[in-house]
Amino acid sequence: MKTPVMAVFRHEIRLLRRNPIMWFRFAIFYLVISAVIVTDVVQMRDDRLSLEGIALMILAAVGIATALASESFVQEKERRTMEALLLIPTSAASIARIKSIFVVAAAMTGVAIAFLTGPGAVSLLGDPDQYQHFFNRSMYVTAIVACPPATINVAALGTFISSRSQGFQTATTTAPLLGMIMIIPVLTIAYVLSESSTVVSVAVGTAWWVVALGGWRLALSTVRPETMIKTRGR
Amino acid sequence: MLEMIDVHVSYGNTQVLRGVSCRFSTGHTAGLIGDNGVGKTTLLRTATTLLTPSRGEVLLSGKPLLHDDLASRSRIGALIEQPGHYDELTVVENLEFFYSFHASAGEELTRAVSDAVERFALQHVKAERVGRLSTGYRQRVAVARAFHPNARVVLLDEPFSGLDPTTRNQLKGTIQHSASRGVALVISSHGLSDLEALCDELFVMAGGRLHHFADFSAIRKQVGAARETDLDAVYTSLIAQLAQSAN
Repeated sequence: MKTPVMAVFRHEIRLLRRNPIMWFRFAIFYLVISAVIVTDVVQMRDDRLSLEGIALMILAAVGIATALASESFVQEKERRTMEALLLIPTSAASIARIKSIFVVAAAMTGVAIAFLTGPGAVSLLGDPDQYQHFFNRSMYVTAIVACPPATINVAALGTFISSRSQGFQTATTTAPLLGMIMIIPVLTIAYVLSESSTVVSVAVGTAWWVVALGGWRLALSTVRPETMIKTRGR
Repeated sequence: MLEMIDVHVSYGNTQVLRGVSCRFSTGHTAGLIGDNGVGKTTLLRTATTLLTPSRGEVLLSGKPLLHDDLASRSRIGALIEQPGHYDELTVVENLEFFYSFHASAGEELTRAVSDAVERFALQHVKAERVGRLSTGYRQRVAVARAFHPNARVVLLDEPFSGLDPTTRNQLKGTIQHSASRGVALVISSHGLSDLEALCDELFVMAGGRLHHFADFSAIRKQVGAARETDLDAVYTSLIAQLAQSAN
């Protein structure tokens, strides 16, 4: 039996590369995020700057993850490749897991590019201190501890919804709604982490990672082929 | 060899398969016919483990076939209902993706894909994006996908649907050639003359049950039709007879 992880991953990258709509969306997203970050860094509004950065990072990661995850299986259904995909010798839950890992990787890469190149350019062209002020401890804690688990949870939730939805509309309205609800506790966690001591940060961060990975496993282990294919036709 | 024993499948309160039993043997081509909505696709979905029977079992080489049994599932190839493709990928990329689960990456995979490209006469379009191909070529790609390198049982649901006579005959020849490589082949189709030309045995689905016939001569005999009677008329009489006997 051949391992499906790399094959599915490579396939997803190929599809993303050939998807002009997704590229357009990424370009718009990148421009907006970069513009906001650059404006913030240039204006340097001290304490507020870092908090805005944290919120922006979480919003961006959750936003991309929700968009990609909600379409992950719906697109397969729309182009009628769902059954062919389920016929490959791997479990439906495995396919869902691989797709959600791809979503997390794509979302985190997008955020990393936007957050590194925007302020990086300002730093190179202007004052390096501004860059350091923007990327303080709170920002690193958010990037490593708060943001990835949130993305994992949203990716799992979006993939789960997408696997059960029969059309774009259901998936692309339900998943973002749940993603937006998720942002409130994540922002709280990020704020607590940024204001706490290292010990508390590590404890809360570890707990948050455990919850996220548990939620990811739970949501995607319930994905079954019967729930993913249209069975109205006989 | 694929075997279904007393298989029952329901959608909610509607029972679609009511104790279906059949056996598809290696080296044989079986035809599956029946009216629209009678449960042919459900039967094929159940045979590929996409649906789980509420009662009965599906056996592959005498061993229960379950969705989690990946090694056994890798021996089944199928084309179910109107197949879709990754339109933005080329013919070779589409086949590569599906074949990569059945052949080792590298030379083995490349060989398997080029063999399929040649067998299904896709040489001229292999670098084209599937979205730009005609219905005939798209259908060939779908059938090629079902005949993956590990396939020992191949299930084809309406493989000739929407094809012109020339393309249909070409595809029929290719399917016949591929089936001769030692697979159990099941073709579900409304094209009775296609099935007459291709199949060694026939299964007729009516009222959620499956009826076995050696060939169309046996069906003609059953309904008392003359040798020159049109196949559609023979089929219609048979379905009416089966419905009557069920009541």
